[in-house]
Amino acid sequence: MLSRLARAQAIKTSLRAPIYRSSAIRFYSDDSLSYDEFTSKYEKEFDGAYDTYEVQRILNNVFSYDLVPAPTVIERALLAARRVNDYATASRVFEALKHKVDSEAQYKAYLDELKETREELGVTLQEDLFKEEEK
Amino acid sequence: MLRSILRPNHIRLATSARLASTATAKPITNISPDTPLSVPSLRKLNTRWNTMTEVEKNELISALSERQKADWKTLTPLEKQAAWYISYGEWGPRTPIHPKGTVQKIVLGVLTGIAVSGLVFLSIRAVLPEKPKTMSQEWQQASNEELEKINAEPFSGYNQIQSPIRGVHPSEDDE
Repeated sequence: MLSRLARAQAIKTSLRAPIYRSSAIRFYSDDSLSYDEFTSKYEKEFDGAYDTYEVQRILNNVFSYDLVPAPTVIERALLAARRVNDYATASRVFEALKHKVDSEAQYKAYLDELKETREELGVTLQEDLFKEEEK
Repeated sequence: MLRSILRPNHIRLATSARLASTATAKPITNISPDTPLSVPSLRKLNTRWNTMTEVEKNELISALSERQKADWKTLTPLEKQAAWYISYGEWGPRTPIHPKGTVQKIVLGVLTGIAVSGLVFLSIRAVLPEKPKTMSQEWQQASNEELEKINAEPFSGYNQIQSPIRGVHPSEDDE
């Protein structure tokens, strides 16, 4: 009785398995990245950026996903901007971050995380830079 | 900065340049990463940028990019502002479609229009002559009575009352 049941189960699954598998195969390329893959990819891209245009292009790409890039990526972006001697772009990275994050608290968390790099490079936040002018 | 302190002559030039509203910045001569750019060449850049010539712009851009090769901690706030403005400021394709104060301007314009039309309405009403006596409610009622007496217009009625007080006139109300 029991063995028959097991056999019936086996037949059932063997019947179902190929159908299931064939429906799961899709003939399109899946190039979605995991967060870690995304991070390492863009870290590498920023490390390879050789001029201002390239840095800005990669920044545009990295900020057009439905996620906020990891702090390590931002750090590489800042270093890339430093390498191509473009102060404005380094400052712009933080502006992009401010627009991208959900809340003020998250932006603050990013700022705290990146504080060391930012101060080492001497990047002033845009909102601080133009503060006295608005008043 | 240091140079301008050392040379009072330079200060005087700088102040006069700042005072004149249409002052064009002096040609930038110090193109080296370690010498800060002079204040008048950077001050109020956002008000001057559109009126500067291509040559002046290119001079400033190349001087600033030279400056950015140095440690960014040594950049003055003015230099940072100028660099940011040239790269991402509101000029050229980044000029806002609706400049600052557009909303206020529109609201003010609409309110002024309403006020003016109200004023015109009231002033016309003020200079209008009085209504003719036949327009008064009493006169028209008296006309009605007169017409009733002679049994005028039995088919379509003869109501003489114009512009009744809001709603259906009592005489036309069936209920």
